[in-house]
Amino acid sequence: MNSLRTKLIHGMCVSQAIFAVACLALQPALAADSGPYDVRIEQVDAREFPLVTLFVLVTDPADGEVISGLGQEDFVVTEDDVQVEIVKFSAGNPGPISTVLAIDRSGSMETEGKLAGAKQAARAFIDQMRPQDQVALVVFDNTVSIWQDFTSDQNQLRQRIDAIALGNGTAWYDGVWYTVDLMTGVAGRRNAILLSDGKDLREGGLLQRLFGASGSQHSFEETIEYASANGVAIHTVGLGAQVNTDISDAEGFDEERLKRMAESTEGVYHHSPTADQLRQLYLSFAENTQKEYVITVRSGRASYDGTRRDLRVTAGSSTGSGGYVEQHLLNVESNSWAALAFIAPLALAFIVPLVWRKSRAVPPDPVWTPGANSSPHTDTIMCMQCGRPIRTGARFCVGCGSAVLPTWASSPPVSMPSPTAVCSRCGQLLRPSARFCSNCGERNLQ
Amino acid sequence: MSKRMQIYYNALFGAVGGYLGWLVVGSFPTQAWNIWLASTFIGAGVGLFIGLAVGAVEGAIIKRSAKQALRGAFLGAGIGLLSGMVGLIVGEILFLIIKGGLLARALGWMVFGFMLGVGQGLQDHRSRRRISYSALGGTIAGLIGGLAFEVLTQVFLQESANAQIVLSGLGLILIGASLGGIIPLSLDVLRRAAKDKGTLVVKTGRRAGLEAPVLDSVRLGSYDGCDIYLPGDPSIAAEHARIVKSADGFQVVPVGGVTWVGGQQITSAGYVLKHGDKVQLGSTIVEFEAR
Repeated sequence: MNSLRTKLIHGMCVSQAIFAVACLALQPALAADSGPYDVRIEQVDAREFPLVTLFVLVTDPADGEVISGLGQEDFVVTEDDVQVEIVKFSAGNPGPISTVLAIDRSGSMETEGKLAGAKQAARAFIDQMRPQDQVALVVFDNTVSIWQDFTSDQNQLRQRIDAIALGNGTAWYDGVWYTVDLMTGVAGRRNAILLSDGKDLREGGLLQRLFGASGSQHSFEETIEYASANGVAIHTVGLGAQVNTDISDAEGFDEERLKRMAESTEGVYHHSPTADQLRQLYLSFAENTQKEYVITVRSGRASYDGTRRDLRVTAGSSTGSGGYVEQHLLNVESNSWAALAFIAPLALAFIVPLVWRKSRAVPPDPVWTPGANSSPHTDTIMCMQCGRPIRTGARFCVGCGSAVLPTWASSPPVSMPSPTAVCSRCGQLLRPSARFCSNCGERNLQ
Repeated sequence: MSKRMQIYYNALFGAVGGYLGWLVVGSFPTQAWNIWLASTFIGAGVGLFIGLAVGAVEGAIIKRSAKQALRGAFLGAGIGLLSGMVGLIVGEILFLIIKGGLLARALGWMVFGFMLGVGQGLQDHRSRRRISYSALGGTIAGLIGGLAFEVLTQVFLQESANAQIVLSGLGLILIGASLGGIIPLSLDVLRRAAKDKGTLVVKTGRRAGLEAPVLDSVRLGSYDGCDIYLPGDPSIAAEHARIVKSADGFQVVPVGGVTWVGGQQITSAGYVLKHGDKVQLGSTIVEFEAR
């Protein structure tokens, strides 16, 4: 009996050990890659709020290689430090990707085969397109044009790339502006890559003075604001060996501003010293985007309150951060309970002054007597017919005998007898039904 | 009616306009709409109701003329709709550029309030000065409303689903009340600061006690479209006299009826008013105060 039990226990231990080894063998990648990663939130799409979609790229910090093959259980997403529910997850299938390639074609691109390199890189990018993806081309020198609107037709795109010719001057801020214009209203994963080897002539310099080139219509700051407001991340590529930060010097590219543009719009800046390296860079743009994880979460605070929410995605021991602003400056929601609660103080506010006025009101003189020493007002009025001053309280003008309307009496006038209801002989006010004057006995027909 | 009561009723009507805007606009599921469609609708709807209510207040409370109240309401609603729509769209753009927060909310609401104020100014009077006063009033109202909205939103962040209902209602009632009240208030405050200023006080007749600011020109008469509407005195012409601003000060000019000041009949050349002058139109006395 004992030996049987020993065998069973022994057998269980062996099977557990085999199972553990098998598990390790089946998950080598995960075990090997359990950290540290470089986790980056590439794009946050909150247009379907309270569902929020995050496009997450996970790379190996050692060699920059994309880590694929992670599962939903490997990710933890928090919104304002509170874990949120992942309602949808996909690895390596970010849905349709819309990319704008903005390419500099200024005169300086002729040197060192830069334009040829840029075209080759763009073609390499096009080669990586999947049927559901679309690409648009923006080219700029001193002016900007939408060289090709969004299309999935790779041949068309290749032809248009081949047709890019050298121009003159650089207006790359406007290049960004046009890129943002193209992206407005585009749903799903959006990718904007701008390549330049120069400086925008808007800021001046020798070239501007010589050729009258004016550079961009929009300022650098305006352009950043425009891209940010529309939530378009601009990835920028500085091409050339020379890094020159002097804005008035036409030589070299404007690394400082290309960097700021990328950082301010939550994109990434890349530097490619030679044109040959561009192809590899553009290939990695295409491949990395296609290998992103798409994680849709339900916001833990599903109210349309226009507040900023900070997002964190943790995979293994690494965390990437991002965020979004719920878009409503003014969200208006009503319900019947709140409606009832609000109506009461508003109604009260109408009633209070009426009650208050009534309680403070001084009762008017019930009957106004002509010729009385005191009158409601001491203001002198003039006769409408002859212009003589009329004595306070007088019913008739002493100059011409015209009847005077008793408007100096304070409101309400309804307590006043009609101006016609006066005695035709002495001017005494008559009671409404009186046939004879109570003062002089004159017969009056009302 | 005293100035204080006029401001009170303006504010109260504005609050009712904000309440109605909240009630009606809030019954639509705008949260599920595209943000620009939602902003257009909310701005137009809220502007319409606040404009309608504030537009009606003068006719309803001060002139007590149903025709004038309706006329003001229609005009106010139309202008409010347009100005509210433009204001909220521009405000929303600013809000998104700054990416939310106290400054963004305050600025966004200020633009909304500014546009509603401009709308009120356009409706109310013709002069650029009045429009700028009411635009300033609207901007201050927007600032107060926006700051209060953002602060309360942050305070009640954890109960934000319910808080949004109450806060949007409170916010719109507040912005309506501020717009309604602060425009006549700012007109009054700025009038005091102005070099040429005056107040007309109706001393006799059915409108006794009514105070009206004199900023530029004032029409007096028994027609209810006049700035100072004097009903119930058959000796007052439809447009009886006018107060106009001249180089020497405010001048009273008879238009359709005999006008007296201090026992002197005023000719068409007009008369420059001094503090304490009593103007007689028909049998009604209106006092001019240089304050």
